[in-house]
Amino acid sequence: MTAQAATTHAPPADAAPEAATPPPPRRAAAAPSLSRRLVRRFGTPLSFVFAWAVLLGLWELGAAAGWFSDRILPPPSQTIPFLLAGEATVGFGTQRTGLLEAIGVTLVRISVGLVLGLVAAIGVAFLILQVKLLRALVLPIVQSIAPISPVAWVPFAIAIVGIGDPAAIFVVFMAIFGSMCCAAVAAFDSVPQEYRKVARSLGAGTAEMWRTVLLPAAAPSLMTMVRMSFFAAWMAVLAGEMAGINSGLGYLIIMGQQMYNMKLVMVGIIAIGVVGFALDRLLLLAQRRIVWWEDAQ
Amino acid sequence: MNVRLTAPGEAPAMPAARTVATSNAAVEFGRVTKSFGDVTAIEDVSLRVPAGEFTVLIGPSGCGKSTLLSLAAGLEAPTEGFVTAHGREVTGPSRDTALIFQQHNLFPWMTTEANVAYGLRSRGMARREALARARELLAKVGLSDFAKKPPTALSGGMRQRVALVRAFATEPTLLLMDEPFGALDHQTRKIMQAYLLSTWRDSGATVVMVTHDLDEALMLADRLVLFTGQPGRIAETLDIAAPRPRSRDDPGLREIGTRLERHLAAAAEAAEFTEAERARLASR
Ligand SMILES: Nc1ncnc2c1ncn2[C@@H]1O[C@H](COP(=O)(O)OP(=O)(O)OP(=O)(O)O)[C@@H](O)[C@H]1O
Ligand SMILES: [Mg+2]
Repeated sequence: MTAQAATTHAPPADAAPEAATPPPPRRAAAAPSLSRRLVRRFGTPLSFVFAWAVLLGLWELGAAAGWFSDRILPPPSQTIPFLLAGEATVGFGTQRTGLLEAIGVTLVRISVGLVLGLVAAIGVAFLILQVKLLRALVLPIVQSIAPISPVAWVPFAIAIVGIGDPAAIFVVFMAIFGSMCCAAVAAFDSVPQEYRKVARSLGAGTAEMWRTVLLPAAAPSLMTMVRMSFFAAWMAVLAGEMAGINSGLGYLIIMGQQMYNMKLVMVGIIAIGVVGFALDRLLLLAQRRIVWWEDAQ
Repeated sequence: MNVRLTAPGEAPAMPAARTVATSNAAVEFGRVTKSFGDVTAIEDVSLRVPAGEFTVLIGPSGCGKSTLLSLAAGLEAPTEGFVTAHGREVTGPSRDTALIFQQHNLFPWMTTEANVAYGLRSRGMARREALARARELLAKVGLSDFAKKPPTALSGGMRQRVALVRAFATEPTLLLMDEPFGALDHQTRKIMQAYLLSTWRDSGATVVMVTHDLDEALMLADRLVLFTGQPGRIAETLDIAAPRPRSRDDPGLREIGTRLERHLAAAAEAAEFTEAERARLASR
């Protein structure tokens, strides 16, 4: 992240090509440039909607034509009413949990797990950077934990803290802590030496150095790391919920399987996709806000 | 000729003990050797930097100039020998020493004024007061309008100006500069040199500057220290007494320039090629 070399005054992206093309006849000029601007502005969301509409249309068609069983792959015309009618639930009586509740449960787990994992990863990375001995003792262990599949922790989690939220949070934590910690160490290591030298010669102590130099300098990589970890955590929590932690969105899907209710499974998958996508966008937004100076370069 | 040469043999006599250092030396290196693992960056370097003077270090790449500055700044400790500042041994970064690098190293996550205020804040000045002082200093160099902007909104020359302002904000007595204008274009560089000279004169600080630009060295230096590598040693020390502002056409300066150029070319060649390669080149 040696930003110094990058210059800032790039012209706005759309200015150059328009300036370069010779002026077209007047009448023609307004229309294409407007549509082009529209495509540029809404192009991605539009094609997004379009692609999905095509796929869903084909699906519906396929089910109606009997290319595949609508019991295994329920088409949108069955799934959407099922979803809207609020029938996507599992359990009975007081045990009954709906889709929104399942999403809520899963979201709480993932957020708590992510925050704990982030704090622990940065904390351990801090110790590894501050104490030479810990780099030798702790870093290898962290590096070996990182690639372990999160589902492998489920038996431990259940044995230690029982089923439910703590187990799910534990699984999320184990899924992301190792890789986040390694990434954090790498991020802090790659803060340019000159920044530290300047800060030290300007009188910064250790605490101030971390607060005002190392953390902000590493923040762009840390934020990217959080976004990647979010996906890992999202997978981990669902896998955990399917593999024995009997609640949440993952559990909803497994129940759908056990009751042979593919509409329920489908609704669960839709929820995973939509919520995951929305949260990633949210994190991206947060990233742009937190590391605002990165955008300007 | 207003130039005095000192051959390496007749370098100033070493003080007998580390506490005994001549009072007018802002920095003194006493038989300093610095190794990184099995690389010896500098070997047996003795140098007195008189207080208030403008000393320029020049020499081929990799001969340990940056290392020497790090030692003076207290960011590295010598492997052998000693480094003192105003007669006291340098053991860590000092509040009286400021550093400037080729890259401005302004923190992009802070506004320009917060960058300038950084050293003041580190010394315990209240935030509001420090920022007000920073704005004052920026106004002096005509950068008021950029105080609240991030450094990324500034041009290369402006950034380096801000880096200078930041370094001078804490009123250091020793300014260490490592190729400070190396990344700037020719015109901006000349402006920055003039700006540095005036700031230096007003502040009375001691400046030690590394440069690869001979012209720059001749325009700025009271004293030129010529290095050879590797390991880095002092080859020659020149005092340049020509009054400022200097002209590039001053015959005295040009004469030194030509001689230094030859020396630097030879040193660079020595650093780039092995004995055998040089012999082969010579036989062509
Ligand atoms: N922190 C370090 N660790 C290991 N080796 C180093 C370190 N700093 C410098 N060196 C080595 O010491 C020698 C001198 O380096 P230094 O950066 O002081 O040279 P320099 O004269 O500033 O070169 P340049 O003109 O290219 O900036 C080089 O061989 C370099 O590889
Ligand atoms: Mg250097």
